Amino acid sequence: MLKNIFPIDQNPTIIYFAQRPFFKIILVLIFAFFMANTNIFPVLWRNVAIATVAVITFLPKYRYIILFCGMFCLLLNNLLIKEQPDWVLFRANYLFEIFRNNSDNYFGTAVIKYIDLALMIVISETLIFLVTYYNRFRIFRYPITLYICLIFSLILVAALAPLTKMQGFLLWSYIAVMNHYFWFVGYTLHESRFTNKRNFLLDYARYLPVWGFTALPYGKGSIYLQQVEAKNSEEFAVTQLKGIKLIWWAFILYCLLHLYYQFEDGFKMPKLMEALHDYNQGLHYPIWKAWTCLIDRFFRMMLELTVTGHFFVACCRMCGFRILRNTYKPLQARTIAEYWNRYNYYFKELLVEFFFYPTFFKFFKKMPKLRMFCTTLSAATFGNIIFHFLLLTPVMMSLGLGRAYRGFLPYILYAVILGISIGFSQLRSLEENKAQDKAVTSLMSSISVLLFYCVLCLFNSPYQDISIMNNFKFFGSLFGFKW
Amino acid sequence: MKNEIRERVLSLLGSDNQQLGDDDSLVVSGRLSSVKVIELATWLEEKYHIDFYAHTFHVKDFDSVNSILKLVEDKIS
Repeated sequence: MLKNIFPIDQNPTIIYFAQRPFFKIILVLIFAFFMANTNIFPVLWRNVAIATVAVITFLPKYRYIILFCGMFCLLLNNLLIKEQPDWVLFRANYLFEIFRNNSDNYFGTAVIKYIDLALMIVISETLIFLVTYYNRFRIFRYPITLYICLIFSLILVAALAPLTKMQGFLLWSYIAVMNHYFWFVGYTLHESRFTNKRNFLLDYARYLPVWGFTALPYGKGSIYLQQVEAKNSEEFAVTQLKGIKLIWWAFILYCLLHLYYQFEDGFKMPKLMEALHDYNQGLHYPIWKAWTCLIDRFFRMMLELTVTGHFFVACCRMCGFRILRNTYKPLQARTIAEYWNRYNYYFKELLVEFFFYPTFFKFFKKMPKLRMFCTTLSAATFGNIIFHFLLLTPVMMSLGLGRAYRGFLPYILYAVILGISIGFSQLRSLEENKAQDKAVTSLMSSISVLLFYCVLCLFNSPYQDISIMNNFKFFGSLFGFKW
Repeated sequence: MKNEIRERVLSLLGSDNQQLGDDDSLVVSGRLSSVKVIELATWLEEKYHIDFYAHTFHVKDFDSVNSILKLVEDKIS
């Protein structure tokens, strides 16, 4: 494979030189080259990331404070520069856009965001304090459940209580901010139960990490980051070389992705959502067109996630944290469960930590198979639904809870099918492990798994503004049925 | 006990990981998947009659042969 042409992170000579100042400059320049020639990050974010990596490279002992300063730059940028695209700070910016359209006061709406942010920090810190020091109370032993209940109560109040327009906006804006940082706070809450070795600088630096930001915490919590942190100059050199190796591979995939976009444009194949709107208008696709449309979406989604994840992880490794890749050879998966493990690692880990383990050690201890199946269902279905539903705050605010729910139905179906399939796949692989002689390695297994996920991605849409019936019509046309 | 745990971990890791130190990372390094951790926990429950509770289980305790051993000793005592 192309990414393994240069095993630079295993070569003792290269590792030795990577610890010398001149070669450190070269490493930073290579990193900057790949970052500068891609548009994964907005321009200012990218510059902050490069500057942070450059400073950490020479002052690794001050890693936490440098990361914290990087985070602070990104935060200030959002407040002071109007033109800067700030989707990265709050996914729910759409919500603020709605409000801003009725107001010329940019600074005023921006300030509300920061008040929300400050309030979110105060509430989450209070919760963390209670979980850490008052865990003799049963309610604080299950902080994630408590936190989920809190957020859903707020959503219900915002949706159902007779609030004025301004009150409604203020509450929804707070919910949007809280939702977006939900799992970041979740990791801190989760880790607070087991250790008091929390590092505030690192913890807050990862709330808006220079290595990229989505609602999914890449690199999990601060305790995990401390576990995978480079402890000496040799480890740091190896970690950075791994970062360079990954960003080089990510860059190749990025170029492939853009070639693919060109090809897609030339081919004029409708996107899946456009296709579903066509079905809503009464159109019907022939089998070949429906399959092409679906396969196109499946591979595009996979490639986009892989490229973004690789850039985030490479950037994090350049900061000295040897975190695992987000996507790892998904095309080699032989089972449905294995694909799920390889496709989106940090999402899978989030579901495992917050839903899978707690369910496993609480329910059905006497029934091993049911225990495993329900555990998987709780993570891949229940947790998956909660994660994605919380991202719908702007839709809930602008269109109401009912519309948000209806638009979310395809995803609920997706999560249910996914959970059941992974559950059976895991049960099957457990039995095969016991037999120890039935390794499923054939090409047919891989193709079947890819085919399953390809068809399932028809429903993998966290929000759509047309009926789920169109998804079923499209599904029928994959096999030549029309109704 | 240590040897039993070690053998069980090795059998879960498969044939590619026979060179395993007692402090080598299993979970953080990505060697042991969540399902394997569950398998290991189930085995410990059956073998040593340990009862893990949802709110006290932490995957960090399964990160090396030594940490698993410490966990089992703490639970038994």
